[in-house]
Amino acid sequence: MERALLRYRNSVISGLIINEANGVITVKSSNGYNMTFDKSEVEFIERKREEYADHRKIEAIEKGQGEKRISVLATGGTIASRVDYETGAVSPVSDPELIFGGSDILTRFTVAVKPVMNEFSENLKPADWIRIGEIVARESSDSDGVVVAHGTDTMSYTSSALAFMFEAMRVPIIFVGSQRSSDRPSSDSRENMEAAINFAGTDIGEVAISMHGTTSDGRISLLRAVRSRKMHTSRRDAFESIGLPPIADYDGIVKFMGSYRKVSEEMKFSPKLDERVSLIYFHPGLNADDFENMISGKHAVVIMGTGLGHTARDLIPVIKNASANGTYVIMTSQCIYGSTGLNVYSTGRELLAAGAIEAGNMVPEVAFVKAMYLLGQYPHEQFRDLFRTNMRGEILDRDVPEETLRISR
Amino acid sequence: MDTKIGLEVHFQLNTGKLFCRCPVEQTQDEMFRFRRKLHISASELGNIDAAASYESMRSRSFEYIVADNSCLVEMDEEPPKSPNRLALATAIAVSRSLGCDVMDHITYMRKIVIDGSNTTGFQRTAIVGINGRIETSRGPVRISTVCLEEDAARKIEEKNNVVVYSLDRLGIPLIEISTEPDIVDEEHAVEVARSIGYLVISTGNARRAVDAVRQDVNFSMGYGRVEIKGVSKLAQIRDVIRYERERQENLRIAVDTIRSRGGIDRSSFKLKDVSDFFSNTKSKIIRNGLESGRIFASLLKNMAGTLKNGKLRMGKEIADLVRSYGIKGVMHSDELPGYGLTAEEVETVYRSLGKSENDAVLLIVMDPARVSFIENAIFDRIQKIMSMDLSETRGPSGDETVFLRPMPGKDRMYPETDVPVIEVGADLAAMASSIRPRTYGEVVQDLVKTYGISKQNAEYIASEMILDLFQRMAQLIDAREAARMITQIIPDLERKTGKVLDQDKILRLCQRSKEMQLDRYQLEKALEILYEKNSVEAALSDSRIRELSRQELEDLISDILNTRGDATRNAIIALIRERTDRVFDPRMAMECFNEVKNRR
Repeated sequence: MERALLRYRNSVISGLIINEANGVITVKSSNGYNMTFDKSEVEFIERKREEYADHRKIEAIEKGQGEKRISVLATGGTIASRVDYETGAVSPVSDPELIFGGSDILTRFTVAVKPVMNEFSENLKPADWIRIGEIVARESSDSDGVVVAHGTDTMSYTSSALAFMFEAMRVPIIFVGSQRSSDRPSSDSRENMEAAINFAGTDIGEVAISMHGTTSDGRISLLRAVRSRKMHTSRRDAFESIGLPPIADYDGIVKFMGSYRKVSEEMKFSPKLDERVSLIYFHPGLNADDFENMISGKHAVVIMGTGLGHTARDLIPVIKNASANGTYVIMTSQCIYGSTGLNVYSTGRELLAAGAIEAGNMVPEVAFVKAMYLLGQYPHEQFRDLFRTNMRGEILDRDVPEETLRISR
Repeated sequence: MDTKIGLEVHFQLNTGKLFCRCPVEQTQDEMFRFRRKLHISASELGNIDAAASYESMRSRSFEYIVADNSCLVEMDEEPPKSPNRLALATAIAVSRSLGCDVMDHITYMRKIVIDGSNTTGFQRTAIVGINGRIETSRGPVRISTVCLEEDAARKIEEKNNVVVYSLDRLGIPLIEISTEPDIVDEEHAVEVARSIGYLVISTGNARRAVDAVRQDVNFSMGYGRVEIKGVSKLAQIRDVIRYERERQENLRIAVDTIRSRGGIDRSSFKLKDVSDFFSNTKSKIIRNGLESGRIFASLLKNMAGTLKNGKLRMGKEIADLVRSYGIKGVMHSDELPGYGLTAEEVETVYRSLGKSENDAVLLIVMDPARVSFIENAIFDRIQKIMSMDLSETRGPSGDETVFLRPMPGKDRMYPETDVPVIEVGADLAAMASSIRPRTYGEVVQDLVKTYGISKQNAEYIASEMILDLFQRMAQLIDAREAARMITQIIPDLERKTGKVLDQDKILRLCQRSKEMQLDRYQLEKALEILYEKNSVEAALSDSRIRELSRQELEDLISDILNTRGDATRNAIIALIRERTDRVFDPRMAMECFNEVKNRR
């Protein structure tokens, strides 16, 4: 880094040079403000180099005196950040003591933080899901719970993939993210993480997501991964489990609210996924040729159709053809809430006749992940049956009205 | 040591909120509420500034009232939108009028504020201009910065560690103008605030509301810098500076007294549980305290007679601090016995603590869990005062000031990455050029010329910074009547009722008065009733504004003359007022009097 003394019009400004590119220069001035100038407008009176430590690396650290050992895996969703007010740089923090100082987490748990990868979640690929799954499997052998810190954008995909890959698990696998970055005092990350560690200390044998239940702080909900969906771009309570109340809430203590699968003695982990599956959003005017190209070479295609699960009539022959050639075509709905119903209108009946499989009330993204898992793990002949079989709680037997769900909370 | 005074003057703008497209004004009360906490992660406590860690130690939670002029941005549930262009242009225009170097790029920062007044835990702020000056009668005062920032949420109340804020004010654009400490005394400070005020208010983009202009006063007389935050009226600037000077002078005397006796002593300052001495007390404050907590007492070595004795008030310094942690029951030996305690009870405590003549004793009613924390906090404060380091953030309280929190450090800003750097291009510069801030002299001259009002009234309107209110009123009612209302009637009513009405209400009354074609007597009566009833429609439907007709006046006057045949022309108006609270035209009443008298 460089410190500079520069002249801008009638003013003299001293500060640290934060950025110098594209003809502009940003200086962190001694009054704390960043100031940006056209380079042609400033005259340097003095510039000198200064050493600066870079903290951007995250290290594996274990701390705490608690009996239960919780592994926290960092995949890129930052667990906590430190702001360097001098440079404005935000860097991740992995020391649990720095994250949980002031709470009782470290007296109740031993927390081991391990960096796994450092990626925005939109960049993750199915191969990364497998890699995360393998590390979780390894960690679960010598810990009492595993927490996966993950970017929120694709957290539902990754967590659902793990839910299918872990047919049985020895310890809870809890995903956690945050909607406000952890450098802010208002970040939701601390409460989400505190809750995640507490959820990971229970006997739940499912993959679930720990995020804010409301815009208020103070109540964190645990959502079944295979019913979850990010339903808001920015709110803290963006995650919902569709058509299902949270499994549990945390408001200082864990309160289970419904039935859940318990941990097993033995782990059963099957990390095989078939990547030749795609998820297609139908829209008016979607051209049949384009659609055909999009699904060509796929073993399965999940279509987010309109309403009860429809596509335009001119796509049906393509679907029929694909089906006949061994591609599984699955119909889900863009409505997200509710079930598909292909027997109601003629379009639906024609889709069924063309070989389409109804996803029912399965969340579209979950249907997509499930198709990858089934094709990777089982003989193709079993696909139709298994797809309609409730394997991890991804299918709801009953579509209970929202109003009833709200009352039962 | 020279007195140094600097000002930070804040003006809300009426341009719409800064980082979302919500309006500045709300039309409905509460929509719903939500609760939050703010955290400074422990990783930062090592180098976080004193003010921030003080707030996080108070471990409070915050409840926010959502107003209809707020959206997900104010809730910290959505990233900020691009800053309001008109607000930016106004800040640029003001910067230019103060002779600043205007930035060619505007770079938003996050300033950490964790008292809950910002849902994010930081305030977004950017420098627009630097290095300006304003001419005053006592020489130029340098302007260090002109910033455009977002206003904080409005504090509603504080109860049991929960602070309630309303989001209505959060995000309103705020122009902050900071001076260098070039101001020489309190009168000068008022002049500077006023001069800056003309410039901003004459842009027409300043918000009109009770708390739309707020000043922070920086004061130092050699004992460290004190920042007095949120002074809303010009006259209050003068009062708080006077008070602060006196406070610091008196603390100097108190400190010298204590030092001459040998100073304070940490080892003898121990809060001990003395509740047992009060098992049969009749003191209400102690008995109430014992229901929820315990009574603690400690010696304050060598501090007798400095806590509350004439002008010496070290006791208030301690009480203000303790109160900021939500603890109210503080008593000390300079005011004991008192609070319903007997001399005997007090003596027992003194004896148990080994108080000698020069020592003082402090009594606090509190939760035992917080004793060691409070003990340290109190001693740290006394020690700081003993070293004559009086720097801290204070707030106005009437014409006094009270402790708010330690002085914030400098290093608590980092870039607002959600708002890209804004280039001040030709269009923004042109928009700024169309906004022309004017000085006091220019404003007065304009008023006289445009509205035909007296120079005296114009000066009043300019100096009280109610230009905008006047201009709006003059569109609705006769300009001279508007001037009369603003310069005489409203100040009179404010004095009489002790109330300050929202300007919008007064304007709405003028609007309705225009529609209903009320005359000046009816309007003035309606205004009077508005101060009483607080509702425009109630004021307008009040029977008192129904004007007496010529016939009614004549009947009334006949009636008066029947009982008081000697009533004179000079007394008649007062006599009519005694008998009716309805409005009438005094000139018409005189005419009627003459007619009735002639008829007789």
